[in-house]
Amino acid sequence: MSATAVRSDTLLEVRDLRVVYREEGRFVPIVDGVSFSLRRGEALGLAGESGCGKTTTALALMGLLPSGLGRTRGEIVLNSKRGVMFLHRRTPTGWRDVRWRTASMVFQGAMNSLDPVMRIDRQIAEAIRLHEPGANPDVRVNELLERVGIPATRRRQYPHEFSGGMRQRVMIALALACGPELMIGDEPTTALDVMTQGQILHLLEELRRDLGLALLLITHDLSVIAETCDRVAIMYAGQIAEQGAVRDLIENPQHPYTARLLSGFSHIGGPRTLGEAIPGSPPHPGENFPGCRFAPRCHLAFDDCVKAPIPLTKGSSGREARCLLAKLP
Amino acid sequence: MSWRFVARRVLVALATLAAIVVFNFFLFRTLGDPSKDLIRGRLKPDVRAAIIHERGYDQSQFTQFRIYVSNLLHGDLGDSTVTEKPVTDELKTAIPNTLLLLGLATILSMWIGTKLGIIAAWRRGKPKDTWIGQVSLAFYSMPDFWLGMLFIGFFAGTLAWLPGGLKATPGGEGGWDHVVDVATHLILPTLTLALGEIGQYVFITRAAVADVMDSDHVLTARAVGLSPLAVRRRHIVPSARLPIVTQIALNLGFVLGGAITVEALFSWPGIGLATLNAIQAKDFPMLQGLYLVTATLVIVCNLAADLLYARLDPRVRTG
Amino acid sequence: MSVITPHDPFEVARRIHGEGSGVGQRGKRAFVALTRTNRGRIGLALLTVFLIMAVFGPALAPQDPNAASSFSTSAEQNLADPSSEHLLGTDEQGRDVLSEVLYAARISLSVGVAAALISTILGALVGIIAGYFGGWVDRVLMAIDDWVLVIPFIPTAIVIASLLGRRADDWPLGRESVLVLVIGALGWAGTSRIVRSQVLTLKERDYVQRARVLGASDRTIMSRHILPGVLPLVLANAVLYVSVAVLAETTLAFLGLGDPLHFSWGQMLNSAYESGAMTQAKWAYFIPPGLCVTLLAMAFSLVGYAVEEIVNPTRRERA
Repeated sequence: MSATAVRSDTLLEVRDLRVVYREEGRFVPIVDGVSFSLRRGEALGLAGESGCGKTTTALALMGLLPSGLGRTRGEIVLNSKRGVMFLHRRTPTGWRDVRWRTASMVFQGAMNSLDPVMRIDRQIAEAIRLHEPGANPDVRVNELLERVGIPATRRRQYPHEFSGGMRQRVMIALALACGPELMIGDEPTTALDVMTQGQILHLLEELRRDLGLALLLITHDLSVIAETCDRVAIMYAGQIAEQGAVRDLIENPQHPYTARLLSGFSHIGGPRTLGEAIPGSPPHPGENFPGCRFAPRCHLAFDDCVKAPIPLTKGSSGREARCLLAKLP
Repeated sequence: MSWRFVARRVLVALATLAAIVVFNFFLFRTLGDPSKDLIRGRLKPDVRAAIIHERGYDQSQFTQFRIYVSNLLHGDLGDSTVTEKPVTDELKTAIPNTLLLLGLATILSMWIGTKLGIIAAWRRGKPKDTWIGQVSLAFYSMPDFWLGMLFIGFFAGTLAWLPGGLKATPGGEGGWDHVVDVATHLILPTLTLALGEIGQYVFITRAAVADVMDSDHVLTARAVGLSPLAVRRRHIVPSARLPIVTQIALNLGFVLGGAITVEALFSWPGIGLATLNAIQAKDFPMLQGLYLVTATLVIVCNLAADLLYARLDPRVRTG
Repeated sequence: MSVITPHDPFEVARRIHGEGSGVGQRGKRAFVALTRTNRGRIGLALLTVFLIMAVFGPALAPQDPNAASSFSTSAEQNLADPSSEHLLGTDEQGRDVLSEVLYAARISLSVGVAAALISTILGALVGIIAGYFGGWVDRVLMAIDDWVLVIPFIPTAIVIASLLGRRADDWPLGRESVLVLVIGALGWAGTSRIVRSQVLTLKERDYVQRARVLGASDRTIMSRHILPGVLPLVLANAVLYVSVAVLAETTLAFLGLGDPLHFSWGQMLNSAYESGAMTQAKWAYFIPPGLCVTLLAMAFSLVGYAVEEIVNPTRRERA
């Protein structure tokens, strides 16, 4: 595993990441050769159906894979201000140094992501004290809460005393506690109503701007990505189907899967149609495919599609698509 | 925790107690016959009739109940048909003895049980988990007193290391020697009761901890970078305590049952032995009084568990 | 991650019996899944042994403990140690202990099962009615349920069994019948809660709503739609409760509330205790009955937990 240099403004580089599940002597890949990069202050969206491996990818980036899952191949390089970190080589103890200080995570459904029997100020203070022993967290806690729009007077309350949107803000405050350079959001707005969703996304946008935070946003909701992200990667069955700048991808999708996903969205003022659901369902992890994984459900599939693994067609400035039909300049 | 919350719980407890008193009374009156149960000895019919009239057994049930309750409130639980002394006399010595035994055994089994349960949950699916589970199930499936019989047979019979019964050696001196004497007599019954109850604490703890281990907030704690031990101590165990407390309260009735048999077996002069004797002698006033005491004990413990739960779980207090 | 592994018991069962949802098919699948878990296998094996003991015990036993010929003629034959003639020795009346153990299997097993059946049926009924009708019916029933849960099990059983015992001498199984009734009547409270919450979920399901809209009567809905839905849960609970019931019967019999004519293992332990077998280290007398109770309770617990895992998928653990 050679560690090739990264560009100086690249914060995170993931190369050929593989995460497998051990089962009865064979290995079932959940994430199968995923590569992407994230620049400082950039927002990358990772989209796909449930089960496509996006959450697993995120957990792998933090070293939080559940037992039974192991990374077997790939490199995760974090080009932080404190030095270049090769995360794929980290030991369990080594991870604890990275977590929260360099990269933090906001989970979906903060309903249960915050400890229900701990006051929120104590939970945030715990993170601060862990990474900066000797610091007095109180002032910081107040600042953080105010930053995310929670009155500091509520600091001694418990999570259940907040509404869903407020809880998510607390979660974000917690995620910012140690000044990370990268924030990963795993479906941070999925459980919220549309109004609150907008508020949270707006908050994330603000933070990104003010703090130069890089954002990796994981969601199945393309509209959220369209609103917040600079670039997007579409995942299917453990692989990246298509990647590129958001504008480019939406206007000019090169992978049939992307095209179908986008067709599900109606445009205001356009014809009143219901998007068609994609027939079939995503494959089980471990199903063997000689060729393209999307072929069984693809309306444009032809013979060559199922013969051999499909290589990534690469275009300029990070644009890529895993399809034989892709035409990228 | 507001006073209103506490007051409400206490009121419910009192209401339950009242219901028990009613239940207790009518149970004995409907299933038994006070004129036979509560009057002993071969008496001439007219003497018997006089006693019946004097005690009011010929009056309506409700009048009798009124008499019973007013006696109760004055601390009069009737007289034992065996000793002919007030039931309360016997209870006064029996209750502290039971509390001593029960208290020690519960502390021991809770402490070891929860520790084992946490280990079992932490090493889920691994051999340690399995054999902790199997051993706990084995002890849990044993009748408490049978385990006691084995202990007595072995430690008191074959090895003659420890006394096989009673609270203290008869004719011993008081003071420090007495304390040591009682302590040696306590060892086997406490051990028996503790081992019998340990199983349920292991199960409950393991289930509670395993449940919490999978929860989202534990993932958050790991993500923040806390060491596994810190995660366990600060984020898993506090949440796991809640179901443990509930289950303990629910199981109290059974624990008491076990205590009764162990006391009976070891002739430990507590409520259990008194119950055994009362059954054999058909001493119904005593039985009635003992039942009231045990039920009260359970209600009080349930109340304590309820309040403890509220103390531990902030979600309940504001509700 | 819900990857299904080939050795997953549920998957194997599904492959053998298909995916049908009829009660019969689900039952078969459950059984196959049961036999493929370790717990299920051990539990079922033990149960089979005890079933054989119960059914064929009297035929296999060298002696009939109730026959006059079994009693000893001289004192030295009492409490004898194991010999070639009496593999487990004799009891305090000279009867063969091994025969007693085999005969007692019937009583212990049938009392346990009968009591569990009674309490399960009662609990299910209360749970279904409370859950289905809701409103004040629910509130009243659950208030009663709460109260029954608070009543200490063994003490109450003791009181009722003492009071009723005398009248039961000519009932089938004598005083043991009283124990069946008492254990059954006191144990429904836990089941009803579990059933009730299940009913609350089922009530909202589509097929129930549809039946309502189509005008089906409450009774039809409850019996045809709700009942099959709660049956698996009830079954798991019933099996687990047999374990509790067996231990309860043993305890009560030990305290002297059993029937010497229809003796159970608990009754044997009572006799052993009364005759001082433990201080005399007559291991062969009091170890076998207690061991049998332990193993029987364990067997039902193992099977019960295994069934519960099958029935309640959320309880299946991730490896």
